[in-house]
This record gives sequence, C-alpha cells and structure tokens, in this order.
Amino acid sequence: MSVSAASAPPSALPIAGPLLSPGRRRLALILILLPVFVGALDLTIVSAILPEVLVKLGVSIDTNLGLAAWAVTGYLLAYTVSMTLMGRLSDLAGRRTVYLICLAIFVAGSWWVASCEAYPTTLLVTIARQVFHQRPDTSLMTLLAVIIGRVIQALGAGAMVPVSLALVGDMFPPGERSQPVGVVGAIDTVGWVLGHLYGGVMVRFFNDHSVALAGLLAPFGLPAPDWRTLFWINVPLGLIALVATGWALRGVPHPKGHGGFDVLGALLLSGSLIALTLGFGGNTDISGTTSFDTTTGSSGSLFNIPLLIGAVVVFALFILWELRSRSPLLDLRLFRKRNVSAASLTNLLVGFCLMLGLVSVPLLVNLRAKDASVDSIAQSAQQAGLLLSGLTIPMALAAVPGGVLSNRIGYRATTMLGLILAAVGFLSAGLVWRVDTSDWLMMAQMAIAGIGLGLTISPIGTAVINDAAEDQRGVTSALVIILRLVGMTMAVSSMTAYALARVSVLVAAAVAAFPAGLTPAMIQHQSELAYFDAGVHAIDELLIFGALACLLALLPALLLHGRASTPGDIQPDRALPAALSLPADALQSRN
Amino acid sequence: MTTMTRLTMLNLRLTFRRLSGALLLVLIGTVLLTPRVPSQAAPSADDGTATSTPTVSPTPYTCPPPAASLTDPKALLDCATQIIQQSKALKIKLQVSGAPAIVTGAVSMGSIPIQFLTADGEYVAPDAVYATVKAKLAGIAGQVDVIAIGDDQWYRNAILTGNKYLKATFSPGFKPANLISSGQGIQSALQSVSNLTLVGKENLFGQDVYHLTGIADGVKVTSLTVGLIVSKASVNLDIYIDTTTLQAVEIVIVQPETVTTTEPDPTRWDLELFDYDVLVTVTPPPDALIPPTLTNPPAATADTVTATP
Repeated sequence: MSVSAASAPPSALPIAGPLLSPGRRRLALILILLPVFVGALDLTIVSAILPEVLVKLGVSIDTNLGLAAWAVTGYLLAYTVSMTLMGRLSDLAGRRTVYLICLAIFVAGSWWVASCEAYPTTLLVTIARQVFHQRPDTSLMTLLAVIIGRVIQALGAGAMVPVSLALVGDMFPPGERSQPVGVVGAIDTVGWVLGHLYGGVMVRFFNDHSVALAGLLAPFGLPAPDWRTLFWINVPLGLIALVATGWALRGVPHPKGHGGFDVLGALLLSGSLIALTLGFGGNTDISGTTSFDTTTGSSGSLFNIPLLIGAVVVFALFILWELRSRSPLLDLRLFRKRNVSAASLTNLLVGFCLMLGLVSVPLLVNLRAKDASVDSIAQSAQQAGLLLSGLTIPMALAAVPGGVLSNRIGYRATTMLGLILAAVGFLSAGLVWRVDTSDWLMMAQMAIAGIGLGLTISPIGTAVINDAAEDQRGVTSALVIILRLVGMTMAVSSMTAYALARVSVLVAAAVAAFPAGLTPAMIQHQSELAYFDAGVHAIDELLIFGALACLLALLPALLLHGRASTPGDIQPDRALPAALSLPADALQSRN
Repeated sequence: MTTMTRLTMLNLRLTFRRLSGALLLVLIGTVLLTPRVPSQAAPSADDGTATSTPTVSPTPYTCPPPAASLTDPKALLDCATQIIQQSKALKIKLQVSGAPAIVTGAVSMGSIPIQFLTADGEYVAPDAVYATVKAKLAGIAGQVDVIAIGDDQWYRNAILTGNKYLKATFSPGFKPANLISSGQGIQSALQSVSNLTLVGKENLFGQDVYHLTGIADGVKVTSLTVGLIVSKASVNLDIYIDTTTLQAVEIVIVQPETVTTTEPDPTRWDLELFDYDVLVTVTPPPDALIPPTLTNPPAATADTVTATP
C-alpha cells in the first residue's frame, strides 16, 4: 500500500497462483486482524497512560513534559512513515514477508517498551556515558527508552493496515473483497477509537487491585501489573500471531510489482516529516532542560526555525526528485485532480483538529485531579478514557450518516457541515472549560466535535476515490489518510510547544505582576494560582485553535465538488474503505 | 473559585511545602559531602546559577601512595578521601533505584511520603552550593533549584515560585559553612567501611578504575546518601577509584534489608563524583523575588563564590 505510481495497474500484475480455499482465507483474515487491532489500540492508548508512565518513572512534570510528548509524536511520525513506505515495499518484496517482518518489529518494539527499565535503559545510559560523555538521569533515559520503543512499535504497526488490505486483495476474488476490506477497516477503527479507554480502564484496574494481582502473580515470579503490562501483553499475542500468520499465509498468491523502490524519495520524505515534527517541537524540553525557563532570560522563537526551514527545503528536494524519478514514491499528478487536492488539505486539518481534542481532554482531566496521588492519576486515566470516547465513538458512528448525506447533498456541503459542527464543539469547549467544568458538558461538547469530524470522513474519502483514475484510487485514498496522520503529528508537536510556552509566559507575566510586600508563603500561593490558571488557559487556547483549524479547513472543502449520487459511481470494493477512510489499493492486485 | 479548585490548590501547596522541607535534607547531605577549603574570589556569573569551565591544572595532593600501596584498598580509599577533602570544587550526582527511598526524620510530612529521586550538586569551597533536586511527592515528581551561599538561600520551582528565584530561607538554621566544619561528611563515612577488598581493575563507562568493595552500618554512611539512610542495618558498598588520578568516581550503596514482597529490588544509591576542581562559580540570582523582610540583606549576599584550581 504505497503512495506510489509504481504500483502497477491491476491488469499488468502477474498472478502468482490460485486463490486459497474459502476456509483458509477466513482463517488467514482472522489472524492478520489481530495485529491490526493491537497496533490500532496502541495508536491512542498512550494518551490515557502517559500520566501513569510519568508517575511511575518519576519523570519531573514541571520540566520534562515536552520530552514525554514524544511518546505520542514519535509513534504518530513513525506510523505515518511506515504506512507511506511499507505498502510499496510489500509490492516488491512480497506481502507475507513484509507483513511478518513488520509484525516482528512491532513485537520487538512492544518488548522494548515493556522492559524499558531494564536492558534498554542500561544500554542508553551506557551510550550517554561513553559516547556523549553525559550523566543523564536514569528516569529520563527510561523515558527515552519508552519513546524509542514506541517508534519501533509504530514502524511495525504502521504497515499493518495497508499490507493487510493488500493481502485481502491477494487472497479474495474481486467480488468477495468488500466484506473483508470492511472488516479490516472496522477492526482498525475500533482499535484506535477504544485505545485510550482500554488504557485508562486497565491502568485503573491494575491500580485498584495491585495487591491482589501481585499476590496472584508472585508465585510465577511475575511483578505486579502496571502500565508496562499493557505492552507485555503484545509480546505473546504478537509471537502467536507471527507463527500462525506465517503458517496461514503460506501459498498466498502474490503478484510481484514492477519497478524499483524509491529509496531517495523515501529518505527525503521521511527526513522532511521528521524535521517538520522536530521543528514544531523545537523549543520544548527535548534536551531535558526546563521549558518554563523564560524567567531566566532565555529567548528564542516558539519553534525551531532552522529545522522548519530545513523541512521545507528537504520537501522541495523531494518534489524535484519525484518529478524526475522513474519509480516515484508519490505521483504528483494526483494533485491535478481538484477533489484530491482539496480532500488532502481538508483531511490534514481534520487530523490536526482531531489530535487537539485527543490531547486537551486528558490534560484538563489530569490538571483537575483532586490530588497528585497515584490513585488519583489512575482515576484520571479512566476518566480521560471515558471522556475521549465522547469524541471518538460519535466520530466513528457519524461516518455512516456522513456517507448518506454526501450522496444527497454532495461532498462539499457534507464536509462543510461537519467542519462547522466540529468548530462549534471546539469553540464552545474552549470558551467554557475550567477546572470545575462538569464531565457531562465536556462530553457533550466533544461529542459535537466528534460528530462534526465524523461527518467529513465519508465525503472526503469518496470524493477522492471517485475523482481519481481507476488505477490510482488506492494510491490517492492512502495519500489522504497519510495526510490526516501528518496533521495529527503536526498538532502534537506544534501545540505541545505552544502550550508549554504559553504556560511559561502566562506564569512569568503573573509573577511579574505580583504586588510588592508579599511574604514567601504568599508568593508560593500566588504562583500556584498562576500556574493552574495558565494551564487551563492554555488548554482553552488549544481548543480554540482546533475551532480555527476547522474553519480554515472550510477553504479547501469549498473546492470539493460532486456527489456519489448513483450506485454505479462507486465500485463496492472502493466504497467501503472510502467510507471507513481507509486506503483501497489492496484491490489493485487481482481485479 | 470552587471548593474543588481550592482543595486542589491547598493540597498542592501543602505538598510542595513539605517537599521543600524534604529537599532541604538533600541539600544538607550534598554539602556534607564536601570538606572546607579556603575560597578564592572571581568574577561573578550573570545567570544566577553555577557555571563551569575545564580544569586548568591539577591540585598538588599528597597522594598517590607509593606504588607498592596501589594494591592496598585502604591506602587507595584514604587517598581518594584526601583528594575529596582538598578539592576546591566538585560535582556530584546521586540517584536512587530499586525500592523507594522515603524521606523520614526531621521534616514533618504528615501522611504523604516523600520519595527522593536524584540530586545534581555543584559545590564550591568554602560555603556555596548550587543543586537541582528531584523528588516524588504523592507520586508526582518535581524539581527544585537551590542556591546557598553563606547564610543566604534562594530557590525556584515552576509551581512554588513561578520558576523565579525566591530569596528565602529554605530551612531555618541551615548554614553550609557550619555543616562543612562539623567534621562529618564523606571522610567519616568512608572511614567506617569495613571488610574493604580490592576486586581489581575494571572499566567503568570507558574509565579505568580500581573497584573496591566493603560493608558498613547504614547510618555511618548516611552522608553519602544525603542523610536518607536511617537504618543501622549493614549496607554493601562498591567504590570505584580512577586508576590515574586516584579520584573516587562512583560509590554504589545497596541496602539489602529494603527488599520486600512488593519491592523485590533493594534500594540502590549511585553517587557519582566528577569535575574535581573544575572552575565553578555560584552567584546570587540577579532578579530574584525578595520578600520585604529581606530587602536589606547583609553584605555577604552579593558575594560570588568561585573555585579555581
């Protein structure tokens, strides 16, 4: 599933062998769905468990939040890069091979995160001491190990959906593909929608029953379960899936793709994305230094401008290379289609908004925890998971009426209606959220935003597929999804930097305005008030940014045109992944 | 302001006040590690914290011992102790792993445990310290920067002071000079080590070191752990001494008695000592918040303490 023009048109692909028996196909499908689900769960699980991770690792919350945010950003970035590259690689190297390698990578990443406090930390400390001659805090090295493990996980998980869809294309005849493609999409959606809830509930469960669970596991030499257990679970599941899938996919016919793998294009695109993400997160505390340090006279822009310039330059080089390459990673002719360009840009901003919602809720929930105990953090994790479900479940459900509406009133009107609804949800939240805002109000506002974002899924996906040429539909639909992930990544990196800087500036301003004659106790009290006010203020501003991004997305949405008014406009195999906002080029291989 | 908000504020305020008190123990321990050496004046840094540059020349210590004694662990340890005593500046890093190290003792903490995490300290003879201390209180880790020069103290924290230095007494009665001259500290701690054994020469993160082991009563080496070991139970020590400079570079203390069913790994203290006699300047922060009672500080307040080789 690459965003590549080198993916040969269906008719040109050689057929490697006969299709599997129906029973074998169903078994293989079930087996490849397990890693898809686990990988999707892990996409959003971290938003609920990150506070628990920080507490357990002893990471200083006042100085290292920026570094911690990379547990989210790193996963998104690697997921995006993997999704972009691995599909094409599977065309060339074989789906089964690439799928199993990526699954093994995901298992290795899960093991790395789960055992972060042991070998990974030791290794990183040794490197820091011997290579860089630094003496880092062990807890920071453990956090870095978590981030590295998350990146490894994502490099494997990002390939799961596109390669699974491609496998469906290999295994099922054209007339039978709609259902399995839909199942793959549904499992993926259910995974990322429920990831934060699953993480929150499990953290709470482990915390509430820690003594009993420790007693149960002690005879087996196992430690009491905690957040790491959620990653340990992936290891045996992944290994079982690895063996079983390796067996089940034997003999799956694989139409070998032609052309080469655009290595330079892949490097340039990945480099540009990484520089962009690092640039947006430029002046947060990735080095471990305080991000609140404006009072000591440190200056500089909010973002790392040289890195952002570097990202633009590298991206320009990427475009130049793609125009010359015989096997380009990205066929730039795709953007000649108005709907493709408009939908891509709209989905970029939709991803940006979605991530702001996913981040703001846990931030406020944790800020208003009744105290700073482990119990409260666990309760907050569960509460954040529940509240986030108010955003994600309506979003997933709204994809269905979004499809109906786009048939009746067209892509443009449906998308704009969704964006306006989402803007209303984000804006109302940004205007009223305080420390004591009720859960019901928060959930209602997030539900409005979620429904709005959900309404855009179907028209964006369908408009792209219907506007693209027959042999480019899969490529273009994958591109739209990747741009949504890019938008999510940009939101985390840029808005984390913004929020930390805003808190710093607001607190500094409040401290500068302290009246003369305050006692140390009064200064402490006023500082605490300033800190909390600044935190809530920054979260509100994030939500308002979300509303503004929705309104900005109206501009490219205005360029969308047409509607899926007749059934013949959309082939069934294309319509389902489009409705699920999934790529559909799995269907290229044996049409 | 709702009741919940007030409660949250109150809780955090109490939490960090208690944390401040606990962190004082860490600061005291940091200073205890250092002997008294006459200071030399130097230009002040302008960032209000400590700055450092590479060593210019080594201090003429009376050790090393004769070559024949390099296989004698007691002679090696005595030499390393002497070097620490005579150093004009020194940096330390103390970290805890395994079973939590809970702060107990002089500070009132109520029912909320304070868990020490790390301390990064820079000492300048005779009476100045810059330290960054991290500790967990009720599960949440926080960081406080502390400067102590003579009788004056400043500290800052994002929440407690809006990340601006506050000139205030971190703890009444705390005087680095008195602590240094009290005869306690690393010398007495290391001299209490028994069953001293030279394991051999090893490589520690690229540095050739002598590896010594020994045991001691916990309370006798408590100054190595910033006063946080209160148990009299025996602890195991691993001491690493650079083979070239004979400087102690790392001391590891393990408390076997801390192992429980819920904490299978014992408390382990890793104390790193480095940058001996590297020029360090500790200056008062220039834009500190000054409460009204401190608007006319004593003349010593403006001093800068610098260590030069």
